[in-house]
Amino acid sequence: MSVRVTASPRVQRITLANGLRVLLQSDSTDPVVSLSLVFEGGSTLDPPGREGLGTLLADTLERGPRGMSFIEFSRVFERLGSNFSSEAGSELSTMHATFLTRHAATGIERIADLLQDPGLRAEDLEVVRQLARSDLQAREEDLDDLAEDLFLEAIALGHPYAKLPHGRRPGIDAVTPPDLRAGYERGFRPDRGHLAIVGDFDEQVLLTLLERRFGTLPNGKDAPAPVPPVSPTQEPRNVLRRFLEKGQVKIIIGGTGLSAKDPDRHSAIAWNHVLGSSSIRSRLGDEIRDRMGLAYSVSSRVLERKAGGFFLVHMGTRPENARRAIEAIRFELNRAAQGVGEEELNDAKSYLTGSFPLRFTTYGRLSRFWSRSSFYEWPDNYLDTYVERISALTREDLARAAARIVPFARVLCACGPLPANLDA
Amino acid sequence: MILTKQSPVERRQLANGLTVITERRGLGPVVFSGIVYRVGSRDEQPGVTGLSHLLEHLMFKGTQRFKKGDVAALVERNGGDLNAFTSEDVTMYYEVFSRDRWKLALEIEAERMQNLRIDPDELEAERQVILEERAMYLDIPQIELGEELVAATFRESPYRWPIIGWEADIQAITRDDLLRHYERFYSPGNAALVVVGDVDGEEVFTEAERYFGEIPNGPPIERRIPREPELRSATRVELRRPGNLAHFQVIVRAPEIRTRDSEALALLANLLSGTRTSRLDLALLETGKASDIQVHFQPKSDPSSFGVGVEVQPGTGIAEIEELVWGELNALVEGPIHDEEMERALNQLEAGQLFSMQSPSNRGFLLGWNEAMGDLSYADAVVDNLKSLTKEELQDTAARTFLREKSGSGILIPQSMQSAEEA
Repeated sequence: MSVRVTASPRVQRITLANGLRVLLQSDSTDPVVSLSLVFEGGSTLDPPGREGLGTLLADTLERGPRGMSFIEFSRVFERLGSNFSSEAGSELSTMHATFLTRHAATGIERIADLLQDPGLRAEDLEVVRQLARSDLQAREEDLDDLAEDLFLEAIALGHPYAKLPHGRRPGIDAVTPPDLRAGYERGFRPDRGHLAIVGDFDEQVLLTLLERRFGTLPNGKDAPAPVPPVSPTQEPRNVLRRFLEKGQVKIIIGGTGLSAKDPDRHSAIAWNHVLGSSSIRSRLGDEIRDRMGLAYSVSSRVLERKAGGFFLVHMGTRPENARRAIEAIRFELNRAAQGVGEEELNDAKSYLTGSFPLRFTTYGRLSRFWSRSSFYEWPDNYLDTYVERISALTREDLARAAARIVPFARVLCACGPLPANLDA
Repeated sequence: MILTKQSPVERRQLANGLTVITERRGLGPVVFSGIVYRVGSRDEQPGVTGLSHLLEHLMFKGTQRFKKGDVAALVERNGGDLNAFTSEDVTMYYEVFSRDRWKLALEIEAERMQNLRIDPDELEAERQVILEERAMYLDIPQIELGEELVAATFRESPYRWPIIGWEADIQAITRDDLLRHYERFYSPGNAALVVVGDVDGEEVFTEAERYFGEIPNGPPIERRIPREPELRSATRVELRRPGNLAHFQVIVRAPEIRTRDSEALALLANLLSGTRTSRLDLALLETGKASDIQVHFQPKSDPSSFGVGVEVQPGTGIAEIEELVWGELNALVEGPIHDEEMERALNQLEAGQLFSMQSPSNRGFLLGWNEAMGDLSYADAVVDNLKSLTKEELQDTAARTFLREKSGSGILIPQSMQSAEEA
């Protein structure tokens, strides 16, 4: 028996006059309201030579609307005990806020002020640019981050998903205030937005506020073109960076995977659970960590995007073990390509269905889920049918997903004190 | 979503000394169960540092009833999550299950409390895993700097070594060391069970009695923790590492948990860097002199430290950052502290706690931590205590704590800056 997570309360879906999709889930357990607003695009909309624009834009937006300084705007939220953040991801620009119920209307009004007339001031751009440069520098020096960046660039070469949200130095240096304004008009169109609000509020009162303040946000002239589908990895590729002074070699092996809308995505999730996404027990963890003692952590991930997906195995190991670790990962990938055993499948299904309610224990988690669910166009009954979908999976389903992932895991990225035998 | 109503925290003690704490709260059909032991790196000796953390890892490798992998399989098959952490003062193991199977957590933890088995081969494999974990941390130079700074500033306190332990000690710990540590500290009287979520309190007490009631308590634990002598002069640590980003860290001595001074320091930490417009953020981030600021203050069983860490923007000198940080610390001593910034800080702390406590796990950690640290009621009292602090109290605490002549400073000089120096 598994516990259902979504019997109540219902989610109300409304599309405002300007096309903004709104999802409201009212619940009065705690006097808290959480808001998640996402706009399609993210760093895929960064123009050539302006890589990182999405992040600079998100960070500048955090600094307030026209007519209000960064300090004044931030202190509105601080005084209310609220938090507000704005961030660019690889395919979404996101805003997230949490309020005490008694301050929710004020907080939501201030976010509307920002979207109606963002400041995007030159002096604010300089502050966030400076911080973005150091963030890039820190990523260069953290080999886990560096390896993931190099991997994503290699795997999605030429595709908009290869643009890293935090950008690259020349792009960060080149962005101007007019670029921010153009980026805002392109990337924050209400007809490409999804707003989810979960918590303790009166639906009708909130809806009136949203219609008045969010329903009047303008759409610019030209909507951006959709992101093209990702082509499967064809050529094997090694990306190696040698840093002799570090203690560990960071290794990533992977390739293209399945999209967030792929009919096999649940199969891929279950297969990946068996292989290495579980922090509790997985083939990679059992073999490479527990039996061989080669890593503190080794895991695999599926990165789902709307127009494609990626798959990767990530680990760190001391240089004398690097070669052996790579061989072990490849061995496990090839073994998993054959599919999984009946018992492994049943365990994965039990885990994925049983742990499902554990994922929705705060309003913040729920609001993030609903805004993304709307973006990915998952069906209204996604939560209600998730358990049934997972429960119905067969070994053949998982083998089919594996066959669409493992053969394309052709990119090896390794950073650190690489041993000589790694290039061979 | 099935909603649950909140109920007050209930606490009872079994005859064998095990404390049981439960609270019904949360949004979904989810139950967090955790067992916290009053043991951490504070209970170690030089030569066997890292013992508590290594033991925590081995608690996942087998017991009399559960062979290696059995616990993980049981949790996975029941859709749960489990993990553990070791700190200076406590070690906590926890599971999260949906409400229809939460008792599995008690089955697992009762077995682990009494029947650990340490297979020598498993010990060797896990030792290698922990050496990898340590290598991973040391690849981050600011972690290495922090470790060196604490080691140089404390002489006697067990807080001077890292929780994970020194590498040579990790290599040297024996199976007997581990078993002795387990027998001494893993007993009902040295533990508390915390169950939070969609669960009935009476049922929790009944089940706790059923699973743990028969486990005999161990002998009383006597601790002789060395007292840390006063720091009599300023200490300085300098690391040179490859890279481009300089770091500055400063630590001063800070009092133990549940003192008026430690509460004042918690609020002072927030005034310094709790929000985007707090003092250090405006002085260092907004001026482009730094790219990251961390203010660390987690009060512990014994006096420990209050710290500020800064990632320095290229082009800014470390000495300038050091002066700016001390300028802000001294400004808190000299005042004024404004009502408006106090109000913002307190609102942030209070609402932040409410937001965080939506998660049964966060609530369970908070209750377990406070119980193990000596006073469960402190979990819900601390915000009110902070609200009762006056500006004069804050300044008085700041004046007795932010003492430059008795501080430890750590600087990380990146290779790029070394080349500039040489040129």
